[in-house]
Order: sequence, then C-alpha cells, then structure tokens
Amino acid sequence: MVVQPMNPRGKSDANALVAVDTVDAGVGDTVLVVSGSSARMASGLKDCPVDAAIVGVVDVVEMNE
Amino acid sequence: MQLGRVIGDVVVTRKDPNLSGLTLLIVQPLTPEREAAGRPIVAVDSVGCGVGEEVFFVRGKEASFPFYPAEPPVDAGIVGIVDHWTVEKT
Repeated sequence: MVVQPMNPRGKSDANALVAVDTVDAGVGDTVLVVSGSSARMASGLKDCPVDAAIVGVVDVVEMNE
Repeated sequence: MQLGRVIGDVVVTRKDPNLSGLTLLIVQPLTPEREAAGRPIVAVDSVGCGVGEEVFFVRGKEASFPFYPAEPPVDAGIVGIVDHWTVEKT
C-alpha cells in the first residue's frame, strides 16, 4: 500500500511511503504505520525484508493542546 | 531519548493482535525551551501518563522493550514522565 503520512489534524506532513498491510486496511482509511526494524514485529512479517507496516486502522484521533 | 508533550490519543480497534491493551498517545517532541521540535508522532505508553504531561520517549525497536517478552510492533514509546528539567544557558 502507498501511505501518505499526516499530522493529527489530517494534513500531509511527509513524503509518501510504501508499507505492507497486515490488518486489511482499505484505500482512504486512516492507519497506524510502524517503520524501521519494528515493522518486522508485525504479525506475519518475521524475517521479511520490510521497513514499514500498517498495524492498525484508526477510529478516532483525540487532540487536546 | 527525547523530550515531548502528550497532546492527544488515538483509538484503534482493528489492529495487530500484539497491540491489544496498549495505550497509543500523540506526542509532540519538544526542544529544551519547550518549543515544538518536528512533527507529532504516535507513541505507545508504558508508564501510565496522560494528555498534557511532559514525558521522554524512545524511538525505534527499543520502544517495545518495556513489554518484554512480548514484542509489539511499535517504533516510538513513552518511557518516563518528566517532573521538571533545567537547562543552563551558556
């Protein structure tokens, strides 16, 4: 999947990246992406050559600044 | 480790089974002068902190170490709540 990082208010704030989906996310979903070696700890990715994985589909982001 | 302030939280129902029961918070990294430093990140909480608190956090696979022997797929984790800090001006 191609993922566009965003800030908590939904605005794009970094370059898009390619991530392996482990939770059946769909296009348009807000997701949680883990990057670096931690991505290999997502279910089913042990010892896979990946550095970004989708590990959750976000329901709500609550901000209190 | 980096300083930050907890500015929100994230509710995620459909997720990796190893993330079950973990609290996900939004952390704004801070400079020692308490100004925002970079983009906010989602971090897993291992110390029971709340929104508005100043904390320090780690990035990378080390964020999962507080939950050993479980290995949740996390790349940022809050590992301490800061009571206060001082910076000497040079």
